[in-house]
Amino acid sequence: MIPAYTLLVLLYLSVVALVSSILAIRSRDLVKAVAFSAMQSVAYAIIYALLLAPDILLVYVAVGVGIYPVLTLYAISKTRRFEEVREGG
Amino acid sequence: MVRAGYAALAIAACVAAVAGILLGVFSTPSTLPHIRALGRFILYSTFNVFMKGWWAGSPEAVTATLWDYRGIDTVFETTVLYVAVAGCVALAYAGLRRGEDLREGPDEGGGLTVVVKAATKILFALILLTSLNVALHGYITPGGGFAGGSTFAIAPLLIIAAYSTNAIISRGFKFRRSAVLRSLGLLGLAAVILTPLAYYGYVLQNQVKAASSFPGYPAFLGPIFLGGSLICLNMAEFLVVGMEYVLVFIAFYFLDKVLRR
Repeated sequence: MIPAYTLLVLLYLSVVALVSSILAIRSRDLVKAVAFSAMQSVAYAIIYALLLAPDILLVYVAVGVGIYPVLTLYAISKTRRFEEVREGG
Repeated sequence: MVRAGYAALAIAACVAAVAGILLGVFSTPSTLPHIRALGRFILYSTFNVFMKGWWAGSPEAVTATLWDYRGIDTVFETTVLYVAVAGCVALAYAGLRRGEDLREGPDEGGGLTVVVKAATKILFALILLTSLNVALHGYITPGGGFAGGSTFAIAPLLIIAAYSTNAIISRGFKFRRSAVLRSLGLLGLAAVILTPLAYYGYVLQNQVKAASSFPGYPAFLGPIFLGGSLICLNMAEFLVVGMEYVLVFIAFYFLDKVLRR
């Protein structure tokens, strides 16, 4: 069986990932949104470590925390940092 | 603006490091309650020297599955990535004027502070070593070609962040060179995959199999453990994936130049 404390850590990390995903979607500051997205990646990476998937972990850390946020930041640097507030939106 | 983003990323990386250390100190590996028949077969036979008709010559069940038991999946994944990067490069070429070539300009300087640059230089060497280690030992420890290539891609990305894209181009990651290297990696992959056919074996055959006269790739070189074709396939995949990421970064840079004028 999976020990109870492992399940507790999994639950905690899942909540962190969920909250940071929601924050990333709701944030109007795009750079902050990328940082929240990277936070979600970190939580998922630790979940992979707990679930004994080190092979996926190695790729996920490099792509989810390294390449994807930097490329997204590059894309943001080509446009405006803040999302526009739409009327009645 | 972008600098604030990098700072946030650095904080995220620190959180990850602390969490990783805590995890290592306080947790023991969880045991799985049930393993399915297919998984049990692979775990049982992947390094079973007494059943060489079924073994993959590698104690790493994941790499053995990726490159031996389910090798075709990985081959097509590599092909998909290759074609996607080819599209990205074609996009960079599409903006060029007639007769124009993708030429590299001189190093413009600039970038972040001296402290960041010095730290980047140290990290660059460390990341290169780590990625090579992950790819080379992919048949013994977790990791492999794709993980190694993705880790390798962080090194030029750091240089781009601390200096400029021009800096990696003037330091040897040339456009043509990366393109040729990734194609060479793919050719190496194809050579290792298709060689058993010449001996009336199977495509992607690694070790000796029934109804095939291919003797299998060497699992041992004297005292050194080789893992059959897995080490060659991992290193070729490392070359392909690493160079593909570098190619995408450089293509972005050229696209930027084309769009700016």
